[in-house]
Amino acid sequence: MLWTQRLWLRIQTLFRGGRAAQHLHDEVQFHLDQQIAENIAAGMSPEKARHAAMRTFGNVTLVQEDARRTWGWMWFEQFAQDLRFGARSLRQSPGFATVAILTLALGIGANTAIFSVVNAVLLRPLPYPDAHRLAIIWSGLGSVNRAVASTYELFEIRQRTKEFDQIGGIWVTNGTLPGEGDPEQVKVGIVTSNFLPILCPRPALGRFFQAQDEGPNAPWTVVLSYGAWARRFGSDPSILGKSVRYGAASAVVIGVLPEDFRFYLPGGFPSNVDVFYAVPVDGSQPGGPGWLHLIGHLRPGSNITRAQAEADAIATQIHNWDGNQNITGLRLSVYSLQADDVREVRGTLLLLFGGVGFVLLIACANVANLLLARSTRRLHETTVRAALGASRGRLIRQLLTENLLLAAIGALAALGVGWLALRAILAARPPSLLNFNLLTPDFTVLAFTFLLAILASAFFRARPTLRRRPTEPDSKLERR
Amino acid sequence: MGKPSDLVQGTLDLLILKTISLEPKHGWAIAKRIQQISGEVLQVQQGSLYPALHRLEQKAWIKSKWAETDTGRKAKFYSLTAGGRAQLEKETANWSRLSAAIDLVVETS
Repeated sequence: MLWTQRLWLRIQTLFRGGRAAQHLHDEVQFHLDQQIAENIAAGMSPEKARHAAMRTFGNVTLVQEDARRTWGWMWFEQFAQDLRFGARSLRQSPGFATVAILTLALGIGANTAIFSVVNAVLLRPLPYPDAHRLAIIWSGLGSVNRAVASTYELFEIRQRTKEFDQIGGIWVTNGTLPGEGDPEQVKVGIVTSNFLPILCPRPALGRFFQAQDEGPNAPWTVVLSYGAWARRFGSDPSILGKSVRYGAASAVVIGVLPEDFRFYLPGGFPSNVDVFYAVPVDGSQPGGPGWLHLIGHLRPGSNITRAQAEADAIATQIHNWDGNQNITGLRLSVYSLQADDVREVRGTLLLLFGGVGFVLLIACANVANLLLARSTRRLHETTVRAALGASRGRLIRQLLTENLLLAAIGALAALGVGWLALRAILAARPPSLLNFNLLTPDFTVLAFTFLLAILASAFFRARPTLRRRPTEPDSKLERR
Repeated sequence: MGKPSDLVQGTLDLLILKTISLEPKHGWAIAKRIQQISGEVLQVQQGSLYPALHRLEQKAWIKSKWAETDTGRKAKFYSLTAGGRAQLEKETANWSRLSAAIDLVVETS
């Protein structure tokens, strides 16, 4: 295959660039020697023969460069060359380099930190299956909004809904861990039997609740968090199906949640609940106190807007305690679980994100000024290079590479700054962010940081300062 | 006496391929050969030969080998690859068509 041969040739010249260049040099030298020999044979003096050969050949350096260009790695060689040169010139002005890099590190680092939070809270979907199809349903009455719902309301909504294929409820209270040993106070989740499967596809061990576990005559069953199972029962798998002491009664452990399962529910909801048991959804008692957080799973093809319209209709059909009249002013509000969870911080986060954007702009402006001052100081260098034949494009490329190098080093330092800033944010975060795992290394954050660096370097001056006034042709070439 | 004509743009590849189609040659010999055969009319700008050779090599139409010349010096010899032979046929056909067309125009007017 021709293209595989070509690829192989290109790779060879990349990795054996030095040898290939030497060969090219030898090849040209051989040619010149042949021509010189021929010229001498024709009667020229050695000196004249050499000059004549050089003349017929043309510019040796240029020919070699043109030949090397055909190897396809010229841009790479020049890029590497520019990088080396850029690193050297940064080392030569450590004051400038330190200030520029620190400025960039602060500017980019602040963005990295805030973006980490934005990414974790607003962009990354909640770690649940079908996270985009999960909704939270709040009950509201009169001036009360975002209230928990009664089992009767849940029953009625379930009866009528066409937009949700599952609606479950949970209430978290305090309780103790089941099993022998010192009583340990933990969070206990009282759930409908379908609640856990909505958020967690399968348990780490055993099973979740089924309808029969809700019954008044069924043995009391509990599901444990992974942590509780490890702490209380030493991660003993044989505990499944066994009856353990639970307060004054006893309960059968039927399942264990996965280790990484967490709750991301709004309003100070704890992220870890250690014990769950199921209660029936009783539709026989209209009225009744509200106590359930309702989480719904939308049917395929449905969306929050349609679910809300349906909930509005259902709200008018739910009767009050005597079963005859509608509850006046009952409202059901459907929000996407993700949006509702971060409702309180969303605005603040976006504001902060905008703010650090401006910090970066200011940082870039400062570094751009430093670079401008530096380019005037480098007048001698650029003028000499231009005089030696470097094209304007080549000089611009060199400056672009240097700027990119500066920004890349700044971005590396920014990762450190960002990490420190993130620690500070974590220490001061509002309760609604407590559940989020913000310190997970994330490729998106890394990519964002380096993208910022590239954008930042685009702000910088990439125009070489050259002065070639006819009145003072050589003044900039002189070394002072 | 006119100056030797510059090579018609783009025909250098064809000349190189043709010149080494019979036996491997080094760069200097290729330049000499082209000049000789064409009766000194075509003067290859000697330097421009090398970028062309390297480009053809990167296209895998020709391959090179370092070997000794008759005088015992090491030189880089170029020879055609199978792909190069096919390319030579293609370019020869193109050239024939082009020169026939030009003949036609020149002779009828």
